[in-house]
Amino acid sequence: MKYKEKIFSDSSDEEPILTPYKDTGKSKETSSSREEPVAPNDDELPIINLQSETEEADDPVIVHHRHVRPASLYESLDYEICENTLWKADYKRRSQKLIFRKDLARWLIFLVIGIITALIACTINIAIDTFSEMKYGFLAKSVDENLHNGNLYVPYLYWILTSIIPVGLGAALVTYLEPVAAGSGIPQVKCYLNGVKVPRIVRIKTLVVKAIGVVTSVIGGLAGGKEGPMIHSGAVVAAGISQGKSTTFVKDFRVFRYFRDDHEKRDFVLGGASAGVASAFGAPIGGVLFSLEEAASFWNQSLIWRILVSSTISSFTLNVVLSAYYGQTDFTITGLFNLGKFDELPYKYFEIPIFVLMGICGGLLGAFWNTTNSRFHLFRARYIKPGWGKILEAMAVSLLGVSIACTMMYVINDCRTLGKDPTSYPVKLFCGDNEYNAVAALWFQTPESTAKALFHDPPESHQILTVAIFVVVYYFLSCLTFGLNVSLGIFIPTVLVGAAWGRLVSMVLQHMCPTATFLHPGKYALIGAAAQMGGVLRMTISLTVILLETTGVDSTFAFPLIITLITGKFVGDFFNEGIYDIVIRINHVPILPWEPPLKYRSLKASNIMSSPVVCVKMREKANYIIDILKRYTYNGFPVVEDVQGNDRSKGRVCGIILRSQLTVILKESLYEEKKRLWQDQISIETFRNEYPRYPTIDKFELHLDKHDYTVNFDIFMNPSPVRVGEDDSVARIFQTFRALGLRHMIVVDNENRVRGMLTRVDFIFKED
Amino acid sequence: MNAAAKIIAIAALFLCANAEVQGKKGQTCEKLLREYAANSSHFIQCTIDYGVPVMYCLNCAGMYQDLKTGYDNLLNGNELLKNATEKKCFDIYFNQDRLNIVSQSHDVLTNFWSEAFCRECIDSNGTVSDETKAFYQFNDKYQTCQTKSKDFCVDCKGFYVDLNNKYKDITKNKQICFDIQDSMNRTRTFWTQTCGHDAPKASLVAFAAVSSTLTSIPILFYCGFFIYYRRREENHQIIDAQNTERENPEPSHSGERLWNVPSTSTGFIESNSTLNLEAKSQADDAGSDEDLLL
Repeated sequence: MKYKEKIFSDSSDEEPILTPYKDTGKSKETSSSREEPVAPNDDELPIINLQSETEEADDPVIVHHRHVRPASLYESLDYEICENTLWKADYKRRSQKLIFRKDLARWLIFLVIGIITALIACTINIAIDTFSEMKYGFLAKSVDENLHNGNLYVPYLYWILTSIIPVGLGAALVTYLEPVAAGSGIPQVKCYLNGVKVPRIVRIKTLVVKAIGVVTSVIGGLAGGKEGPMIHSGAVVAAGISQGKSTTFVKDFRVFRYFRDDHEKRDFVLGGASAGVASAFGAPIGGVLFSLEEAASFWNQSLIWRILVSSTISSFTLNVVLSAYYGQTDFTITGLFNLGKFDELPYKYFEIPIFVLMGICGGLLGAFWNTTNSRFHLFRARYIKPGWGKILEAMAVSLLGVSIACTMMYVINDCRTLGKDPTSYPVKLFCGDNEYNAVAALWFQTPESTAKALFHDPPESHQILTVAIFVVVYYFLSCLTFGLNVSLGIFIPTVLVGAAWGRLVSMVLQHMCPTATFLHPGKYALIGAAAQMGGVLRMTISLTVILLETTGVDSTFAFPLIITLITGKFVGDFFNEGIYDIVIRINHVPILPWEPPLKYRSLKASNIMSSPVVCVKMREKANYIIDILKRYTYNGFPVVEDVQGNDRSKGRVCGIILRSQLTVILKESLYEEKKRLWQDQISIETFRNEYPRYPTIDKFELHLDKHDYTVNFDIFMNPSPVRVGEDDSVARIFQTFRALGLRHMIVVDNENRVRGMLTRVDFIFKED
Repeated sequence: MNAAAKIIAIAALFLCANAEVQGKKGQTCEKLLREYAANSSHFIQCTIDYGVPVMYCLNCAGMYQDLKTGYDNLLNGNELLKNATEKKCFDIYFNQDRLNIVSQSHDVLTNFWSEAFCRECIDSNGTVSDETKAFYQFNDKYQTCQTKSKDFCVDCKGFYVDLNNKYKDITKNKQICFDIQDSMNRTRTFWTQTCGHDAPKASLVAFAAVSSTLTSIPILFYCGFFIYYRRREENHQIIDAQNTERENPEPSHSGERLWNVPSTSTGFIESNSTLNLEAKSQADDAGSDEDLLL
């Protein structure tokens, strides 16, 4: 987002603190504008145009450019139901039967969301499994074959080829087909649920790219997992199914029309995200809690119940399908990410301080990870700009990972006797015939299997040195990998790093006091994983439950997990935010925090509102509407009456009309003069049919003889916008704004005249 | 006589008859139980006899068979019980108390069998699989050689390699009969201890050359991009600086009044980008945004 720079002369004492994640490009611009001699007009400052660095300014008229904010990349969602006359008429017409049918349809959609999400998860899982088995089986064989003629670089080259080709493919898909599918997907879904419309996030194309992308990058052996993408996929499925139409395929099934607004869609997306968590982790309750934790401002009891049912169905479907695929009769495969069941993890009271220490360690490591990762991100944003560069980068990182892994494998001669530990692809390398190489066992599988092995391998499966080097390498590798232009999640690498150093702790302790019996390596791996996740992700409620559900430990172990997570989060929060919030911040998404910014709490509405407001009169000329639509990028226009002269911005508020409604009105020619033509056909459906891609105003040309036509907003506008007094405290109105999921808040004086407008960005503290 | 009494009478008759059947069956069932107990003890003795080194899959297959049959008889009844109506030995020996020893013992014993993946080398009819037979042929050759030969590291190497290769074939399956696995592990351990293993030690030079070349690619990649864009950025800064100089002296506000949005001579202050209350109150100029997001 672009803000105009405040003049430096009167603001130097109030300069807000810069965040560490400030876009470097922007800060550069800022400083350069600061060094400039005084602008001709004291109060005027040059516009900050981020794009000017790389692109030519697309707006030739500079004056325009200064006053009208360019359209933001992110829009808000309209959660407020527009209860206009049309809506009321529709509501009255609805019989009891229709309401029942709508409820039934809602349940049905939630069920289908659960099932389809699980099926997508199954497909991804089976694809990854099949290809990985082929790849690592082939590589293990190749190592064996080439061992004796000394061509150890041959398997290395094969390994590189089988890694960079899929990775390059996935990166190309993401870069050229659907860039929004990059990364984990959880930050995007979080933004969506917070009320920000991230463009193209819930399209079917995104889903396809995401799914294929995640398969290719996991096969390519990048340090990442498939959980984040699964959650995103669930959200896309939900948004797609609930609408009963596909804009991509230009197909309208003419069902579920009554769900076509942001409010209903959000509820379904919430369900989809939670079904995604449920199928990714086999954790239905964790899924529900995830959706609560990320979007808890809007929920009610019946919605949560539907979400839980849909999550449970999702994890059940996955279970059935995967169990059938792997030929198991009992439904034991509970999630994509299965850490394997722990039988019992007894712990002693004196271990709790150790857990706390590990939590602190996890917090520090996590905070450092986050900082390093955001540094990498800024580096990429600044220096690696072309699409092909991003693809090459993904391939380069993959190559680097393979090289390090291969070197480790050849150099560290950690031999373990075969037969005690179930290794999928035992590679002998320089070990005896009865032994396998423990380093190769760590690398020759998907990260998920490695994590599982670290949790469940019996003690003495690795040397301390092996695990120590593995931790260091994987820590930095995962840090370098997250943020590449591929579709990959962050959950598994974090678990893996945490599990590895947790296991390392238990191995070192065991080495120091060989008689201690409580040092179960799996238990410490789990605590390490919890600490690392507390430090990196900073999620609390859902993470605890997800860990409990995926590992199947009984709830007595919840206490150590929670202690570790809390410490990890607390220590990490001391330094920076969770990785998802960092990603959101780096992308400049205006996400609403839980609380109003500290500096705003003592202020009044009039201090933070934007004014003057572009308003429309109750009866307005068509060409005025077109002009303001073309001129401004705003989305809500207060409808006013009692206007003195032409000064609309001081009128009395009687409603609010949205840009989307205005464009539909113009498109359908709903003019007052032609009322007899459309009066009988008009209904709320006219507006719903256009959702969610409303016509844009850019290409709209008004026919000459329609210029003087007027639009009467009486039946279209929302007659009950949320109004606040100009002296109301920001803390109070923030609560209202967030709890109701509002988009516009009109600030009025005590005569009900417009004073200003409050929207999402006004509540977000401006750092620059 | 009313209906209730009738029912009671019939029920009493049925119970008596049933007790009689049960008595008769009791004896048969006892016999079956003894059989099952004997089978179990044979089987467990066999497994322990052949426990270390593990060879019980092949050696105790018959006993396992007997154990299964005995248990099935007890569970489902057999020829002896054909005449008895519905009730079976199941009701006498199963789920009678907390210990439930009959089914517990069966679970433990069958676990021995399944844990060792015995059905991979011998199926439920007692037929030894072809793969197992082949493996033991190789094994026998090697073992004979080992016992006969004096310098067996040299003499038996061929047999050992053959055996090893055969085993590698078998390990393509996920589950390997533990008899085979254990035998092979022991053979390998013995061989490695006695003769050492001949894995090459110093062939990493070629690998080191290739890998260091390839690892330098990512580093070069990052450096290249860094330097290229650094330079480009510097050039842009110069251009940008020139541009801003050229743009700034344009205080034109034309077009502002079109929509009777008031415009002041003070210019444009982004009202919502500042906390300055002073500026805020004057912020009725045309430049302010209604909102930045929407």
